[in-house]
Amino acid sequence: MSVSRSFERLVPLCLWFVACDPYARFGADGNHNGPVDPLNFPPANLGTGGDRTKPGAGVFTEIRAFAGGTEVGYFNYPSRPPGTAFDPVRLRTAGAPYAPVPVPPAYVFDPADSTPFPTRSPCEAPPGWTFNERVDDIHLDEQGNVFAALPRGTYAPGVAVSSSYVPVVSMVSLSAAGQACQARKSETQVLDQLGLATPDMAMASGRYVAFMIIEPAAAVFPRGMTAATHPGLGLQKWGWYGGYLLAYLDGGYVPTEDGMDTSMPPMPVTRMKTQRIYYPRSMVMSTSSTGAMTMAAGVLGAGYDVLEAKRGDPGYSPVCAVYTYDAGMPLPAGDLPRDAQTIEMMFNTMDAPVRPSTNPYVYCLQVR
Amino acid sequence: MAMRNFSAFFLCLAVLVATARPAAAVGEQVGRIRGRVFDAGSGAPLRSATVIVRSPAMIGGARVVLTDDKGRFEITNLPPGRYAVEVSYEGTLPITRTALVVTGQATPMEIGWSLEQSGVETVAVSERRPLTKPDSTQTGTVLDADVLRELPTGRSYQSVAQLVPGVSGGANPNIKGGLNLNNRYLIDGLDVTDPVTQTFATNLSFDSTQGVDVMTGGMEAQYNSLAGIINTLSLRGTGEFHANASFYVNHSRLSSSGNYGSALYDGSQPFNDDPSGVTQAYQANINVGGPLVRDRLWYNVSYELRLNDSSTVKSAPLGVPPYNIQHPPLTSTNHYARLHLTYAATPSHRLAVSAGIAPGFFNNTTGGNSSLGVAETRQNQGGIWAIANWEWLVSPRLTPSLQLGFITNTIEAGPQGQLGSIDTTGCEQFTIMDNCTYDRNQPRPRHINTIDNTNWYQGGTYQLDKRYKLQVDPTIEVRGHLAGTHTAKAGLQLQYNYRTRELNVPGGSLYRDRGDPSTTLESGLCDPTAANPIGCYRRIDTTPISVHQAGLGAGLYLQDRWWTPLSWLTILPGIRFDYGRTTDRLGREVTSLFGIGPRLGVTIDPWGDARNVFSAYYGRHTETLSLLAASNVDATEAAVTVTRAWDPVGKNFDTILGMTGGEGGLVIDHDAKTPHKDELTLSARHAITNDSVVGVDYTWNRISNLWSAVEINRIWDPTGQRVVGWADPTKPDLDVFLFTAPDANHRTYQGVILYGEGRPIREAYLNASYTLSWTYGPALTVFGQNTAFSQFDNPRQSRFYDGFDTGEFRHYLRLIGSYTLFGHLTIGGNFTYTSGVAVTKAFFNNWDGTYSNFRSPIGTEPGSGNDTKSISEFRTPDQANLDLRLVYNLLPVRTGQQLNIIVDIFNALGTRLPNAITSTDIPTFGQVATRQNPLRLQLAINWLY
Repeated sequence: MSVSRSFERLVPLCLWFVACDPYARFGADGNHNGPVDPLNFPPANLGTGGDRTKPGAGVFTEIRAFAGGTEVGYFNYPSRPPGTAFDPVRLRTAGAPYAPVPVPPAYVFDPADSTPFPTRSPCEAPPGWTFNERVDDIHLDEQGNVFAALPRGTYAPGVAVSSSYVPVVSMVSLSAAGQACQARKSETQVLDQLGLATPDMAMASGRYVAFMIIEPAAAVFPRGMTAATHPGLGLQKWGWYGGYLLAYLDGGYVPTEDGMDTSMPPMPVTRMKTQRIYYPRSMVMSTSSTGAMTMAAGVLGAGYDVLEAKRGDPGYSPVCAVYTYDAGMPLPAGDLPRDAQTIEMMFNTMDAPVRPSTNPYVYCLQVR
Repeated sequence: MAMRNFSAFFLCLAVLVATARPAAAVGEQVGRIRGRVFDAGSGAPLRSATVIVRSPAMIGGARVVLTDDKGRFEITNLPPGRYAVEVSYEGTLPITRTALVVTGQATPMEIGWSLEQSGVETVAVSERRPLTKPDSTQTGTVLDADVLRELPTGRSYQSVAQLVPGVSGGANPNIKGGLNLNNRYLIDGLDVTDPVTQTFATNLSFDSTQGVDVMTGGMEAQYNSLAGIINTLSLRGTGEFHANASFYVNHSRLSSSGNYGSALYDGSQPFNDDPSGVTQAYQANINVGGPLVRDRLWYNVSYELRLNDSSTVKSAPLGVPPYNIQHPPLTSTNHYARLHLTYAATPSHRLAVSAGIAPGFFNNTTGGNSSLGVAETRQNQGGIWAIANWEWLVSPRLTPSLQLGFITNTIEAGPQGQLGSIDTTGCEQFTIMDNCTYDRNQPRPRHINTIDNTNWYQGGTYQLDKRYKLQVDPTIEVRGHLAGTHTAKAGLQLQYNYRTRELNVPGGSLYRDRGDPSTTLESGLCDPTAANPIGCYRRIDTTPISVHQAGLGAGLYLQDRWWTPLSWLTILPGIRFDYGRTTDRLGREVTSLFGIGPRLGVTIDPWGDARNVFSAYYGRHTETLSLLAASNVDATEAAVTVTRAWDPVGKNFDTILGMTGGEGGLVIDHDAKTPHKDELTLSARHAITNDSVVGVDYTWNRISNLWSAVEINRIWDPTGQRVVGWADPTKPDLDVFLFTAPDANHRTYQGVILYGEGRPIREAYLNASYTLSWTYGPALTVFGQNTAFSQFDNPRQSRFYDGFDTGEFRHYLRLIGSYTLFGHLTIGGNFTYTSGVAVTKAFFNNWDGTYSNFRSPIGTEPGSGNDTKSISEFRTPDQANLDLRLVYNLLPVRTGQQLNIIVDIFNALGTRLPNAITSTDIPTFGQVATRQNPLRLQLAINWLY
């Protein structure tokens, strides 16, 4: 055998040895690709002080409010104001999705009837696994819900950020029973397992859930807490988008109501049922850190809002219709009414609650 | 008396073995001739033929051996050089061949003898070189001075290593997938590897370099390295007087100049008249050697002076309009002096002593376009090295030897204003508080504006670092016959390392400033005393330290070169045992590592003529002696670093964000595994002529259990952006590091090298190679020596540390050669084409305050994000470079002298290809960070006698 022939045979052998692809694992179905990049998130999904290029800067703080005289908390998300051809709480028209309010599917695993989460996930955790908060970034004894879309804002120089995102998803109910926990991390993977090439809205359960996707590194504080007193973890839930870890706030099921629109001929529509949220348009007295008394018109989210219902109550909805009331005189925050019934009974006679034309709706997610 | 001396010697040896830790390698300084004498007519082996070798390079007279039953002979311990090999029978006149002996290799000789030929003084037309390595599995190349004189090089032993296939990177190269911290550097057998950083610790006059043996794999048991070995031999005296002197001029006017932007498409800027930097260099060399006492005492002495100015190419943020500031050049002055003595008291005893010094002084060492001269650093360095090598040629069958070596090196580095004077270029552009002054008595803290990464006020940390190494290597080589021919070697490699270090932060603190994105340059600096401070973000306070570490190591190796009765088969078994122990400033044990390194090599010379050789090799190399872990223990524990966050309400830095160091700041894993490399190499080599070879190598290397500091106290949020708690609640805000060698810290190399090398004709030298290689795995660094962060800083990030290594070249084509015309004019060239180097896009980490996060695997950038399909491999553009050398000898050949005019043309193609890309997620991401140096001419005159 000639030497050149020897080399000809040796080179392919060497090349066979070197076959390798260290990226084969990354991006494969079921791989954890790290947290979602919030680069295109609208500001409202980044939290207070958020910076879409520097995750972890933003903060979401639960807003103190009252329902039925009891202190509750909620996270708000702005709703686009209604227009002549835009109904911010409509979900469907004549059975078809209402395009101006995009409600993408989310694959929710083993939801309970009263809450979109199971008491205990039926998925299979690795044998002997216990959560190590230093090492584990996800819980391997549950299956995170899988989202099909992310919030997206349009950033352009000199133009305010715009976004059509709403913190509501159309629930596709699935079960993780018999499957390894956290095995499914993307819509593609879910569809593959269901034998589908593309999403089929016939799978949708017909129920809607208020899942507000947030910048995953943002701290989420219970009301009254700050970075000095709380780690900023616990209230948010963890799910998946395309193999990426995603954080969201769960506002529970969104009740819906059917009706007819005002077009001619009238069309059947499905709308999100709202609850009322009240705040005073009259002056609210407060004491500054230096002890000085100040007065300012009441604002939404200042800690004295009143909701019709707390989570779990029959009238609860994570979508709120905003109302203001006139307390008749400047009052300290602590003297303001703390339940909707009182507002409707007492202040309705003095000065009826009215809806602000600029922002008549707000998403008001009570996460606990 | 003799007995008492031997007892004392072995007592010392025993003490050293008991207390020392393994050394990494002792470099071969000699070569050998291995051959066969046969009847030219019948091919039958001729036994008992007398083989005599002579050379001006060999002190102590000729060496004589007899051929064995199979006509084979081997003469070892030959200093590199040209040899005359005489073969004769009693009563006949000899026939003669010439051979070139190079370091560490066997020069094969096949000598067909006939009575008719004898008496005719036959000198081979071309001498045999050991290119097919018929009894070695070693890969790599020996570059001798004759070749190096004909090629354009960086004129340092470090730079010529880049000429060898399998080598990439810089002065501390990556060799076949190893980190640049994994090599061993030897000069005249002395291990000059820095005991802490594992990089080269001294320089050497280039004209005093006899040869550089770059070993990239397949090494026998006497070597131990997780990557490669660069074994440099300095010129030694010979029996003849020789001298050379040279002067190299590399004036800036001989270089192409221009201002280049940071966009990929940017070229020269014809309307930009602002001065750009000066890059120039001068070298003066003299080297003299010869006999002091004929055949008894030879000497060689050399001195080299190097003066260098090197300027940063202007780019953002300070090098572009409206500033156009040319950053001060890096200026350096280096002196390399060296002495080599060879003494032969008797024909069987040789003593070689080699010693050198290499002080150097460097101004403005940081470079870049992100600071003025006031924020620069200066470094003074230098040291002494010396080694003595005694060799006793007891008989052709037995050669004991002993090496004693010593090296010390000092590095003093600190703010330019503290150790030297400041270049004030560009200061007039800025106004805040005397930006260009440095008060040695009251230095201001250093500030870094993290919006644009500009540095202000001063150059940062001061350190005084002294390293010492003592090396003792007794060796015994035995040759004999037992089912073939054996050349066995056993040796001890003992080493003691010691290091002292002082470190402090002038000004006491480091500020990392960050305002809104518009607050760049000085406008974004933090002034906590201002009424409305902007830019205040982090302050890092570090306590001064004064520490020392020590290390002892012992290695024992046994190896054999077994030329089996099947004359086409040589088997190279070997094994080495290494143990090393290091201690920290308090004398506490930091590492205590044991390693076993089995080796097995096989070479097949199917036709027995050394023209076609196949080899296979498996070997394990271990690293048991490094002060790096102990150094990091001291640096972590003794230096308390507190990171404070700016409180915009209270307007202070009272909020402690995190802390490293101090009591409880680290845990040492005393059961850590020994870092090691497993290597598999397959080779085939074919001699085209007596003096040229083509071949192919395949190598698989896996380097495992590299040391790292694993942070174990932080509890990160699931995204790895915020620290939300501490695993040990008694140590809140304290980073705790586990010093260990995790299984997860590994890297793998696979590569195929096709090459051809040699002198196919007398006038030409050619060395061409193509390397196709992959390096991958998560181990990017050892204790953060070569990257700022690792997979163990943040467990949420570890998933991204698996990909093609940052620094990996996929394709590497080298064409090196020279051709001599008319006996006077030599043209040499070095062309390289490489695929770009792998880079990873880094994102801001909210907790660290730096760009330490990845969003996609190493070697990639995530694209638009949140879709793995948009992740793309991230590499710098492909590189091409051509260097040329023209050498014209003004003197006739018959004079025995040369007076050469040399013209070097570096980057003869004049390309300005980007060789670094901004890889952090800042507005200049993806733009060019640095480019190739422009076309540069170097003129020299060189006299050789």
